[in-house]
Amino acid sequence: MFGKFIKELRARQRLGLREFCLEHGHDPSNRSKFEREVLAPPRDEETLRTWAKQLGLKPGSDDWLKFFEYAAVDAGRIPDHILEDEELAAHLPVFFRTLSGQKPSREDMEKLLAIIKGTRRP
Amino acid sequence: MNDPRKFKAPYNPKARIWQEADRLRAAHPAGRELPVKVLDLAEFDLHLYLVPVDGLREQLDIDALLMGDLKSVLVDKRAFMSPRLEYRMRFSVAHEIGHLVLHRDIYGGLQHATAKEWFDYISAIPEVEYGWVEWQAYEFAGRLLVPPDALRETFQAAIQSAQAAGYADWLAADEAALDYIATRIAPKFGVSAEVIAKRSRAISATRKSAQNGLSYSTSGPMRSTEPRPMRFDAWRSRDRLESTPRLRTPGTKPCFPICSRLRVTRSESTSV
Repeated sequence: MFGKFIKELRARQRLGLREFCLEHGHDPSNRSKFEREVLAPPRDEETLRTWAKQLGLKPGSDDWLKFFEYAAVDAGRIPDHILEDEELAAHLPVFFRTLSGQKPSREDMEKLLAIIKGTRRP
Repeated sequence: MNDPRKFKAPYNPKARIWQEADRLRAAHPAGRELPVKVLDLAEFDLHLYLVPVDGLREQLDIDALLMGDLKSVLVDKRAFMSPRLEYRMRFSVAHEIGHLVLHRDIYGGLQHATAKEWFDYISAIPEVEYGWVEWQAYEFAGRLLVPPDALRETFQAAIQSAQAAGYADWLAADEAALDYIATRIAPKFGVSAEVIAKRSRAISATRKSAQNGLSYSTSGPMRSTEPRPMRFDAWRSRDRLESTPRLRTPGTKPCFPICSRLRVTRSESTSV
């Protein structure tokens, strides 16, 4: 709920993840995890206020209230994006554009699997 | 699960790939700007998650890849955030959009139950078929980022500007002139000079084909000095080339784009 909402707010401004993170000093991997709801929203009020302002919300507006409401609801929720291995397997990539143009080796694929699992861990 | 050793790349001739790229660009405001706002197109129009991760490039030699759920594209975090690698990342994301548009059905049909099954499947896909699929996405990316009309217009303006500065003789010369012009206009498209040079040759070759093989020549470096490209019908019939020699250009050996794909990828990686 919170993650989708903050992505929607960013999308309304057509502000890409890269630009948003560069402008406000966020780590793009972490930011992506918040938006994909792999990470629970911060509980700290000051951080939330800062984020709300970065997303262009005006204090007291409907979206401002919704932002804090969603943050409160999701703060204690266990993220449901941590998939079991079987479920993860169904999402694995098929074609990779390696810089060398070669098909990945089995060792490469094992490394890739570890990286992909990392994107789903808080 | 079907037998990966029998996997065949889908038939996507260049004309169709170009049509799909043109259609996507025209359908969204992000595609109608120059440079094409390809990251916005991915995030806001195609609703893909861009997921920056550490080590994709360092450990695996990969800039970006489309996940099998068709909802997210993993991108190398360093390349994603680096101004120096911006063009390269734009091209890589465009390439993944190419997979999404052209190969959606393949992804849909390849759901793996376990990671081991995934390892085994990918490992068994024939190298040549893998290369064809990658080539299609590569061609899509180039066309998406470099609209042909804008390229012609920009190219001609750059030539005129150089001619006005007294470089007329040199411009008519050779590939060095093409490289020079490509380098000058590449920032307008947000791609490397090498991509511009390739798209210029592609347009030139297409116009040459449209004139039924008559010699096509411009007064400047848009003139193609490349060997004649493989015909689309040869692409479609590549598996039958040995048995249907009439599909070859007379006097030439069959040409498999997998080879050029590999060369393209290597040189691309060093040029951006």
